[in-house]
Order: sequence, then C-alpha cells, then structure tokens
Amino acid sequence: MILRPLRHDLTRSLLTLISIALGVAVVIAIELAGDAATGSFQSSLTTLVGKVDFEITANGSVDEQYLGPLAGLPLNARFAPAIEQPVVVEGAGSTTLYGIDVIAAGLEGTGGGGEFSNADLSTSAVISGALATRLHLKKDESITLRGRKTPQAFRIRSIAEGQSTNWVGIDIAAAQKLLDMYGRLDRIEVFLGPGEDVERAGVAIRKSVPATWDVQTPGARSEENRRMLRAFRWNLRILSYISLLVGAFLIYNTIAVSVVRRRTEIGILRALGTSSRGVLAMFLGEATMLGLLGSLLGIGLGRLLAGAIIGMISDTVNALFTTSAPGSLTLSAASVIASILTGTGVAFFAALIPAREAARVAPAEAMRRESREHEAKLNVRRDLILAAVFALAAFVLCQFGPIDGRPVLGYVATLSAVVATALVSPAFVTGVIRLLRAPLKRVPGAAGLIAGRSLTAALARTSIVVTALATAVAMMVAVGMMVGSFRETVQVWLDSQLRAEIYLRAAGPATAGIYPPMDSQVPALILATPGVGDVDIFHAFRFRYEDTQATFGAGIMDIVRRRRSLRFLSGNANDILASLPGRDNAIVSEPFANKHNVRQGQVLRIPLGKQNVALTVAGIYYDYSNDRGFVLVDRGTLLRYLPDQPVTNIAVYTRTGANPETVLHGLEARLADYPVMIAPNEVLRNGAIKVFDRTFAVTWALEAVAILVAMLGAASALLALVLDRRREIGLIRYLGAAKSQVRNMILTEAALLGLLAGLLGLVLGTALSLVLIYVVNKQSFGWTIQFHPPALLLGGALLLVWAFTVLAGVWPARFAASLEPAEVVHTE
Amino acid sequence: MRGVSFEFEAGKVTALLGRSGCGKTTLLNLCGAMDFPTSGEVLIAGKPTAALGDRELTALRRTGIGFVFQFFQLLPSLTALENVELPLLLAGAKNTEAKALERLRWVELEHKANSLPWQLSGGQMQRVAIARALVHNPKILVADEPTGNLDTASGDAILKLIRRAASEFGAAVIMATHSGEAADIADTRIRMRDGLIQSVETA
Repeated sequence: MILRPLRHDLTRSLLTLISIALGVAVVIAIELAGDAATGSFQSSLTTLVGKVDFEITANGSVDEQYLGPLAGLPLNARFAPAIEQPVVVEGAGSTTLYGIDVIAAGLEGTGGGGEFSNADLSTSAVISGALATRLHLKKDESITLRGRKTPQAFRIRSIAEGQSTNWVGIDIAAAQKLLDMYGRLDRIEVFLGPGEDVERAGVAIRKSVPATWDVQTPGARSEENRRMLRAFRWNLRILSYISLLVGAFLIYNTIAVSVVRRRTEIGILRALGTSSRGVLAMFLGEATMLGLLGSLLGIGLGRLLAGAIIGMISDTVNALFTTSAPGSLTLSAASVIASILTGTGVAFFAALIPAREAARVAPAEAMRRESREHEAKLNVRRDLILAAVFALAAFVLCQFGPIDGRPVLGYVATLSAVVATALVSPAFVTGVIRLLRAPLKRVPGAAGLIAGRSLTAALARTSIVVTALATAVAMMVAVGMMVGSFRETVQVWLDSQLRAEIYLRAAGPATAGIYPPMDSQVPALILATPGVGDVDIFHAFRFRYEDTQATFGAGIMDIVRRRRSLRFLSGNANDILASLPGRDNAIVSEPFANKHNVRQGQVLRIPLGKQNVALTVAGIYYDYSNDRGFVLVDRGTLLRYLPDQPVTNIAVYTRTGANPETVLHGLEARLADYPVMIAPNEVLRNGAIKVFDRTFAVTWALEAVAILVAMLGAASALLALVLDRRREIGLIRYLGAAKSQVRNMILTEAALLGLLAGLLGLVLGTALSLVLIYVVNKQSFGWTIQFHPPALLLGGALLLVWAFTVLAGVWPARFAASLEPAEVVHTE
Repeated sequence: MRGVSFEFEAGKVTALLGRSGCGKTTLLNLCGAMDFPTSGEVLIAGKPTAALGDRELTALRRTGIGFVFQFFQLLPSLTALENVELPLLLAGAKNTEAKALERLRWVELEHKANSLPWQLSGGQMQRVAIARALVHNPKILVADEPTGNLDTASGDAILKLIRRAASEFGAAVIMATHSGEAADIADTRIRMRDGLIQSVETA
C-alpha cells in the first residue's frame, strides 16, 4: 500500500525524492566542508616536534631570555623555542616558516639517518611533501628563502611526506637570523615528560613568566578559532536548512496530492475495515519512505558537493578569520545518522497534515463517482490573523540581543516570518488572481481565464507551492540584498579609508590576523624617496581579549586625522583622533565594541610587554576589515610599551604635485632588496572587493541549490495539477482547444505561479534582508551594514527565476497536450 | 464496430439505442471526430475525418461540432456564463460574452450567468452544457446520455431543448440514450447490438 503508489506515480515520486535528496545534500555538504575547512588549526609543527602540552605566548613576541629560567624549573618538562612566520621562497611565492630547536627536538643526526646534520645546522631545511610537489623539489636540492632582507639558501635534508600544507622547517637560530628576530620568539612550546602533573606544571610555568603572557594548551587555541568561526558556520548552516524547508513544502504537496487521488481507494479501505489510524500510517509511511530514500541519496550527493565547496569555504575562513588548511572530508557515522534522521523527520512532519486529512475520509467516499478536488479546509480569515501574530512575533524577536553570542532569536524571527508568509499565501493568491482577472482574459484562447481559475480552484495546493517557491525566492532576495548592501557599504568605507596613493606590507599571503613584520630599515628608505609626503607607519599584531582574538594596532594618528576620514559611531572624529597622541587613549572598531560590550570612555586593560596598560576608549569607529575587531593607539603610545615592535604596514601619501606612478617606481627601486609588497591604491581596493566576492561565493552556491529545489517543486506541482485535471483538459479539447492552447494554458499557470511566488518572495525577502542586516549580521559579526538593495541585480535574478518557473512548466505542458481527450473524458 | 453505414441529416434528431458496451459511445466519438475508424470512412460535410490533420480537426470542432455529456462536464472553476463562452474564446471569436449570454437566455438561465456549477441543480447544469454546445452554431450536436443523470422533469426539459436545437439551429443531432422518452423525440432510431446496427426506424 506504500510502495505501489510511489511506483505508480514514478515521475512525481522521483521529483520529490530529488528535492529531499538535494536538501539533505546541501545540509551535509555544508557541515562536512565546514568541518574540513575549519578543523585543521593544529599547526603542522606538531608533525615535526610531537604533541605540545603548553604554549607560552605574549602580545608582540616572547623574550628568549625566559627559556633559561623555565628550563631551571623543577619540572619533568622540555621547553622549546618556536617561530612560525610567513616567508618568501625565491621565485615561488610565500610559505610558512617554522623555526625549531633542532637539537632539543632530537631531529639532528650525524649524517645519513637523521633529519638534520650537525655539521650544517644553519643551512639545513626540512620541507613538507606538498611544498616539494608544488615547487618540484627533491632531497638535497637547495631552497632559497627570503626573510627580511638578505636571501639565504638552505639544503633540503628531508621531505615530510603526507603533509598537505606548505611549510619549511629550519633551526631556530637560522630562523631568527633570517627574520631579523634576534632574541625574540613567537612562542615557547612545553613538552611534559611522563608522570608530570599538567596542573602543577601549568601553575609553575605561569609563575615564572610575566603575568601578561599567556600559558595555554594548544587545544585552547583551536577552541578559540572554532569559537570565532561559530557565527560564520551557524549562518551557513541556517542557510543550508532553507533547501530542506523548501523540500518539506514539496513533501506536503506530494502527500496531499496522493490523498486526493486515492480518496476512493481510502474509502474502500475504510469500508473494508481499515482503521483511520491505519490510513494515517499508510500515508506517513509513504512520506517516510520518500524521506529515507531521499536522505540516502542526499548523503552521497552531499559528500560530492562538499568536495566542490570546501575550497570556497576555506577561502572565506582564510580571508576573514584565520589561517587554516583544508583538512580531509570525513563522513562520520554520526553525521550519516543525523542526516537520515533529519531528512526522514522533515518528510514525516511535512506529511502529517495531509495524512491526517486522509485519516478523516469516511467509508462512504468509496461510492463517490466524480473525483474531488483537494479541498483542505481553508480558513482565510483565521489564517490572516495568525499571520499577523507571527509577523508581530518576528518583529518583537528582532528587538532582543544575541544568546551566547549567536543571533538565535534572529533565526527564530526568520522562521516566524516564513510561517507568516505561508499563512498569508492563500489570501494573497486569491487577491492577486482577482486583480489579474481582466488582463488574464486577454491572454488568447481562454488560456488565461482557465489558468487563473484552476489555480484558485485548487487553492490549498497552489498556496503551498507558491509558499515553497516564495521561500526560496525570498532567501535569494534577502541574501542578495544583504550581500549587495554589505558590498556597497564596504565600497563606501574603502573609499573613505584607502586615501593613500601607495600601500606597503611584508610579502606573504594576505590572511586575516597574520601580520608579517617588515625590516626596520624600510620606513627610513621610504621617507627618503622623492615625492613622498606623509608616511603612516602601522604596527599590528594579534592579541587576546576576553578569550577571543583581536588585533592591536598603532599608527600615526596625526596623519590618520588629517588624511583619512574615519567615521565614528558618535563624537567628532577630529577631536577623538587628536586625543590619541601622547596619551593612553585608544579607539576600537565597531565589531570589537559589540563583541565585548565596550563603550566610549571605558578603560580597557591590555597587556603590552610586561605591563597591563589601561587604555581609555576615546571612540568607536566603523570598520569592515574583519570581525575580530581592532584596538588602535597612537604609534608613540605603542612604542613606549613595546619599543621593538616591528612595522607591519605602511601607507604612503604622495606630495601634492608628485606623480604617484613615479613615486611608486622610486619606492620599488629603493626597496628592491626587501621582500615587501608595494601596491597602488586601486590594486588594494580591487583586491579587497575580490576577497569580499570570493567570501560570498559559497552563499550564492547555496542559493542556487535552494532555487533548483524550488524549480523541481514547481515542475512536480504543475504535473500534479495536470494529472488531477486530465478530464478537464480532455474536455476543453472536445470544446475546440488545439494542443498548443492546452500547452499555453499550463505554461500560463506556470508563469502565474512564478509571478505569485516572485511577488510574495520579494516582500518576504525584503523583510528577511532587514533581519539579516540589522539582527543576524550585527549580532554575529558586529558590524553595521547600510541598506543598499542592488535593484538591478535583484530584478535580473527575479526575472531569471520567473523564466525558470515557466521552463519548469514545459514538460507538464507537453504532457497535458499529449493526453487523448476521448480516453480521459470517458474513463475519468 | 462493423458494417455500420448511415447518414445523419441536418435538422433531424437521431437516437442511438442499445445496451452499455454496444458501441454507442464509439459511434458518437466517430461522428464528433474524436475517434477514427480502423477501416471505412466517416465523412463530415463530404470530407473524411481520418484525412484531417490535428489543426483541421481542431477547426472542425470549433465551428462544426457541439458536445453534451451525461455528467455535464462543466469546468468547476468557471461560472455558467464563462463555461458557455469557453468554445468561443478557444476559437478566438469576437463579442464572446454577448453571444454566450444569448445562448444562456435561450436555455432560460440568464439569471444564473454568474453562478458556479456547484451552485446549480443537475438540470440547470445540463442546460448550461447545451448552451455551451450550441454557442458556436454547430452543424452537428453530439449528445451522450444527456438525460441519464437527471430526474424525469429535468430530463423532459433537456429533451425539448435538444429537439429545438435541431429545428431552430438546423443541427444534425446524434444522441446516445437508454431512455424511451429520449428515443420518442427522435426522427430516426438506430438500435445497436455488439457493434452492429440491428434496426433503423424512422418516425
């Protein structure tokens, strides 16, 4: 009783199956790719030196001198210095450099078997298999690295096979020399010997380093990264559920149609003694079967899809959050079970309403001769009141703050708005078709008249299909408006921020949160270049604040005040910036302020060197460069506490009258020996927009799938409408309709469905975009996006979706035209 | 069906009588150009239907043939007036509403023009169906058990209308029926059995 009908209606069963499969596939793909893209924070260093128990880090850098006292502690532990920095491989771009104490790590050998040879420790290197493959390097060949100024050749002593990331490992002393980091380290790694108590060791270590330093387990760092990525992953996850939601609407429709078709059969079963519970089970079984098969198909599809999108997700992670190399995709038993449960559960609950309708069919229905239209009891007035309640609830939910750093109530508001739309849908369909009555009658050959009427005649079903399509369209519209507004906001912001003609930074990958230092000679060389006016020298480094990562930066605030136009949430920009030099004042970015609940005038305690510095927040400025947030002080203030802090970025303003291009060439010539990247303004600006667009690539991919699912739904729904009206279609052929007129009629219905869904989706989408912009994004990432809907893009997309809906009607239309009138009129 | 040879005249009512399955509906479909013979010919206005293409057949149905069914077969989502108007709209005719209203007046249901089928009685629905079948002044009116689903009074009214269709519009009416009353109004009665014509009586 369950399988036969599914087989009997194979095409529609397949369409529904594919919709569920796609929905599940998207969910699982996002989960898998997300795990893989963010799951590999563990430094590749672990493979060289083994498992680390503690990491000792400090804002700025770690002083090497602490190694001695640490080693003297009465602990069964080994303390190893480590450097992890980007470095340029001559002629082959940049890679990660690890500086480690080769002797202490026991990697040295006396030639032959060991990784490094004692004889030439300062010129030996180990490289990862991935780098060897990329650069076609073999053992005993030479690799030339460029740290600050002078390039240096290293002999490859070993290749670490099975390493999927690019890195070079050299001895710590050689790394310090190469990077001009004498006496300084990025961190000290602690390896505890057997039997050593972790807690005791932690306490002892903390006591012997400055209080402002961090002593953490490496897991804590990964945990921090995961926490930082949580909001990003949640937003993707929620977006992926949309396809599933659209799939749920389609299951509802499929089961509802099945109930209508089999009314007589249900009546007979009831007359033969089947209980209403039995009928309920029959239809729920049908839905569950579809859900189960769809989920199984979806898991396989999701695994494939994950492979396709993992690159996009790790691009985003690298651009916005932190450096990570994509790990391998692993489909765990837990996620397989979760997907099956989700897909099957969604199908089950979506089928509940139509299945209950089936259970209420009276045995007398067996005797009914004419086929009955699907007439789920619609109470338009009650539904409208409920819709208003849900809409109001959505509005109210948006007024609250985040829960545990997540815009949970924002998500609930989104769902509430979708429910409100579903409830409004029947009234909306009737209203619009009534308005269109006159123009529809002008569609030649009665196609318009019949198409409009048959949609309102099967109102319950039409509204479900319109809601499903509208939800998909709304998501497209909402995300389109959000991304478009965001892009415009960023562009305006870039215009106000990137005022210098030329920008410089150390060569290396542009990854959020990584600030490779420049040689200390560079600023002086720039200042001596003809045509150079103001030079803003900037120092940036990653630091931790309230257990999350942020960036601490220092620039010449006098130049910032005169040249850039920072926008502040409140207060006069000029006064705020003028209050920074010579004082322990700071400005913070909006995401930082939102994340840590910081207000103007508040005092932040930030460890700089060995001191905990009290910085007064003079202002909060708009910033969209990353969501971890910035704390900025005047350069003089920073250098007072951290005199050795290296320069990371430089902005060059040319003198009035000087040709920026000439100045650029002058700088290039003067800095030819230094591994710095010199970029004119527009390169930087275009690069930023490119990163932005790449970041949202995965979002668009998700949208496309949701729309695809909705299209399949439209095709399936139209086919159902055709199948249910076979007799009617045959009849109008009797009355003189040509095949082409029947085709046009179904295509007109498809066009109407597309129009209704487009209109409803536009309204819902606009509302959702406001939720995304002002609630979800603000609470997840902390930035204010100005509302700038991209009208042209949206118009084009809507037109495209509409065209696709009509296209989805082509096959049902051909099927309708091919029906034999004499057969269908007399057998039905 | 085998060995059936017969000519239906304009302005006359012909009744097809016989048990279920004797071939009445098949003969009706052949006459309405909705079905085609495997051998032999059906000529409408001198042209064999089997030789006509899909386009010509559609044109023939639009201008030359009207159908009435046992179960009325009105489109449930259209009003009475729109149901009558439908063949004209499909044919791309002009002034469709006025013409449809005129036919509704002819079946005395002008006042029900804006009613939906479910708001009408069985007899009223069949009158709307007759108005629809005659709205384009067809040369042939094919009626399949037009009173089969009606009470006696309604059935009588329908039969009167059918009779008038032949005399006032000059249509050749071909009607399949079980009922004696229906057969009584016919000019010619054809009795069929197992696909063969058993007898032909002319009044």
